[in-house]
Amino acid sequence: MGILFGWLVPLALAGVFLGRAYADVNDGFVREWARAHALTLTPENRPMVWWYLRSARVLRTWGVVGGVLLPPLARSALGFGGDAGYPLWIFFGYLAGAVYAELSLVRPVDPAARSASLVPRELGQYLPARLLIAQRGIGVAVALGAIGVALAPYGERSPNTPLPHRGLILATGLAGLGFAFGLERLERWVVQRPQPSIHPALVDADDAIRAQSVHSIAGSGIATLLILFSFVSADLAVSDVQVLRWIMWVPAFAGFFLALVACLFYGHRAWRVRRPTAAVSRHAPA
Amino acid sequence: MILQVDPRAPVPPYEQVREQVTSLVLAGALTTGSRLPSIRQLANDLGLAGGTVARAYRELENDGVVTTHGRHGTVVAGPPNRPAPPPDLIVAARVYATRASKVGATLDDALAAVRVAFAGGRPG
Repeated sequence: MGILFGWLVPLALAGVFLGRAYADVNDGFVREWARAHALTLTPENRPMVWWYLRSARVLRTWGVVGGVLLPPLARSALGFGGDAGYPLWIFFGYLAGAVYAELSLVRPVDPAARSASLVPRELGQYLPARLLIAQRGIGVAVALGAIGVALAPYGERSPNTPLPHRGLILATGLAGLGFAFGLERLERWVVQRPQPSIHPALVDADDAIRAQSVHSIAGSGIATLLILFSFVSADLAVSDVQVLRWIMWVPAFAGFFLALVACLFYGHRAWRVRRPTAAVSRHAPA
Repeated sequence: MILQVDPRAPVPPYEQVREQVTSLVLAGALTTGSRLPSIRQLANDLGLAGGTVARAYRELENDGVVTTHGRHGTVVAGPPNRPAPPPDLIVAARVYATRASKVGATLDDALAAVRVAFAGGRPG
């Protein structure tokens, strides 16, 4: 039974998901994605869009598979690590895949003359403000929760309900805060990556791809933060403070569900880049 | 509005950026209050060093074309303070710049040649 559920089932599921990732991105998928992003597909931008969608889907799926399979492998090899960390690594793997897909996208450049749009690109055009606020807020909540665990009283425990390791939980809080702000820097970096303006159709496709990359990163990043918040909440829920024992189970469990929603809903959301009004004429020749 | 920088041109890249932004402001394509991209964005897109774009923005600021508001970015302030050269002179300069670049002259070489020509052509 241990081998069946520890290895065979995850391996079989990984095979199914990877097979789908390689097969799913066909002409219909590309057309639907372009329609959702208000993008007109042309002979110039279609290959770039197809390549990105396929590689992003495959790389994100490999990231998830890595997040499922690597922790038990590490536990077998190193002898430590717990099952509770699984969701964290799954979302982190998804995030790593999304970043790698963005990094591996080669944007066409005209070597004879480098070109650039004079329209400023800002994170707020690629990501709704509420997601930015959410990722900052959850990072702060993780840090505050960790401080709460460090300060909360914990009485004697039976061997089945051990005390939270306060050093570890404080490190988690610090990591959550750092992760939230690192996530925002990563998103800003993606927005500022070079956008050579050699053809209007390529610029439009690049904007849609960039918005998809930023959303994938934000969705999986928020999911990772929510899992950290669940861990911290669960530790607060076993403290000796009665009110925390009542209420903190709610975020402890809801965090896992919300993480899934954040990754699947916001990570895959079709977003139309919001440009300032000056952008209307951005394709006019200089 | 697209900027183009030719790395093989005898005119330095910062000067190409400065000239094109000024032209866009004079033509009314960039109006007062329009925000320009950050130095990092423009440098990334054009494949230039950040210092090159920073120099172009500094020159534009000295000309009164843009103002920089710290974190709020660089904003178009209006046409340049100095009077624009007459159109005939710009056309003649373009012809000269093209011929100078064909013989491999740099901007400094071309400007030095203009100074020599002016000094020699002055009466008295």
